[in-house]
Amino acid sequence: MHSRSFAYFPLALVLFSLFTATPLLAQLATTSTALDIDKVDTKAFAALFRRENTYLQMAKSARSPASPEAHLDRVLPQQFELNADSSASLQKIASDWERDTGVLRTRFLQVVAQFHSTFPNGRLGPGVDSTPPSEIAELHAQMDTVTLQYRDKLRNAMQEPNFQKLRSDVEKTFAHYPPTTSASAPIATAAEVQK
Amino acid sequence: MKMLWTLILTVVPCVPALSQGVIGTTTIHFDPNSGIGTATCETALDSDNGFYESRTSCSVVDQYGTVVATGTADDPGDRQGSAAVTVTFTGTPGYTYTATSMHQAAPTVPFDTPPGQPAQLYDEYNFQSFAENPESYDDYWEWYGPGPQLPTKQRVIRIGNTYAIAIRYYTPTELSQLITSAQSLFPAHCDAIFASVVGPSYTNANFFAQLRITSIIQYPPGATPPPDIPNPLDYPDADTQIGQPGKPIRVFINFYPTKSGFAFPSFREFVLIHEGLHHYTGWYDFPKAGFSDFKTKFYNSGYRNNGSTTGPFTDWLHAGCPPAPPGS
Repeated sequence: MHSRSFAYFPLALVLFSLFTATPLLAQLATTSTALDIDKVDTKAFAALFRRENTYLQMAKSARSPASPEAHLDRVLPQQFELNADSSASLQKIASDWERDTGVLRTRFLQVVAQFHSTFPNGRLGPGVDSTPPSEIAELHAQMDTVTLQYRDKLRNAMQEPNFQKLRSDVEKTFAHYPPTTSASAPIATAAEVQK
Repeated sequence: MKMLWTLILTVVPCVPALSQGVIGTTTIHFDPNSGIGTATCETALDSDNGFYESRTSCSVVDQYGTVVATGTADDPGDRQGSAAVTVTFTGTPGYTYTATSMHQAAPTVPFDTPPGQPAQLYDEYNFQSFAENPESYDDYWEWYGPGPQLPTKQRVIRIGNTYAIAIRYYTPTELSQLITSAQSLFPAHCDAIFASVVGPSYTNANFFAQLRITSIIQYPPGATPPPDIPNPLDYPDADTQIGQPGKPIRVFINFYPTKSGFAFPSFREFVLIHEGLHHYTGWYDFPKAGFSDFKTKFYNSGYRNNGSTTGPFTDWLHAGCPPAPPGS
C-alpha cells in the first residue's frame, strides 16, 4: 500500500496544516527528555565511533611513524581528555560498532536498491510512488539502537564521571541538545512535483 | 471509507519525516606535543531513504587567509551514509586556523524529464532550498529538509557550511629549542655580569636548566586573556609571576611570529632570558619596597631605564650588556 503519490499534495497540505495546529503535535514535538537525549546520543556517538575508526585506519596506514597521519590515533584521546583505559575501550567499541552497523547498512543498501529498481526506467515522475518501504525506517531504527547499545558499552567500560564528561563533550562537538529549532520544520511528504 | 484511508496514508508519513536531514560537522585540533593540526569535515545523512549521496569539501586557512590544507570526500552509492575528509598540516605557533566544511548532497535518482529538457533529479526533501542562501554554523549543524519533493537540475546541492577555529600554541619541544638557542646566543659579557650581580648561586648551566623546567603559560593572539590583564592591548611581551608558586613565565602576543617578523630575529630568546632572570632571582623590573629590582641591581653594569616599560632590559641584554652611555 503506497501513500506518497504526488497527486495527494493539496490534501496533504491542508491536513498537515490542521495537524500541526493541534495539541497532539505539540505533544509529539516535546517528546520526553529521555527520548531527546537518546536521539542526540545516536548522532553524537555514531559520529564519535566513525571518527575513531577513521583516525585509527589513517594512523595504521601512515607511510611512516613520522608522517602527520601517524599521530591521528592521539587526536580523540587528546580532544576528549581520555585516559589510556578509556581510549582503549573506545577503540574496541568503535570497531565492534562498525562491524554490527555495517551488517545493517548492507541490508539497507539492498532494500534501497530493490526499492529504486521499482521505478520505471529507474526514474521518478508524476504518478510514480516514491514512498520508501517501511524496512528502511526499521533499519535506521535498528542502527540507532545498536549505537545506543555501544554507547552503553562504552559507559560500562569507563568510570562514570569520565563517561559523563565524554558524553557532554561529544554532544557539544557532534550534536546539539536540545534538538535544533529547525527540527520543527515539517516535510511535506506528498507534494505535487512541478515540472 | 476512501477518504479515511486518504487521511491515514497522508498524515502518518508526516511524523517520522520530521527527523530527516543532513548533519554537518567540522573539528580542528592541534596535537600539543607535535603541533600537527588535524581538521575533519563530515557530511552525514540522517535517516535517509537512498535518494542522496553525501559529499564534503574541506579547507583550512590561517589568519591571513592562506590555504594550508584542502580535501574532498564523497560517498558513492550512499554506502556509508556519510562522507568525511581528514587533513593534517603543520601550523605556525600563534596563528589561528579556521577549518570550513562545505556540506553537499547529491541526488541519486533521475526524475522524468520531457524530451529536449535538461536532465533533472529527484530532490526528496527540497534540499535545493538551502542552496539559494547557504548558511554557516560553528562546529555542527543539522539541516532538516523542508520539503516538498521537487525535481532539481542540480547534480550536487550545496546545503551549507560548518567551521571550527583553533589556535596553534608552541609545543614544549619548540620552547625547549628556543631556550637552547637563547643559551647559545647569550653574550659572554652578560653571563659574567649575571654571575657578578646575582652572586655565587648563579651559573650559566643552572640558570638555563631552571629556565627549561619553568612553566611557560601562553597567551597567543585570540587566546582568552588572563584576569589581571583583560585587555590584550595592555599585554607586555612577557612577564613572570614572581609571587605565584613555581614563578611561571607568561608569554603574550609579541612572542608569536607575524608576517612582519619580530622586533629583532632573536627577540624570543632574549625575552626568555629576561624572564628567566626574574624567575631565577625573584627580582622585579623596577624598584618596589622590600624587593630587589633589575634597574637598581644592574645600574652599575650599565643598564638604564627611565621609562615605564620593561622592554629596555631585553634590548640591553640583546646588545651584549654594554656600559651606560657617557652622561646617562
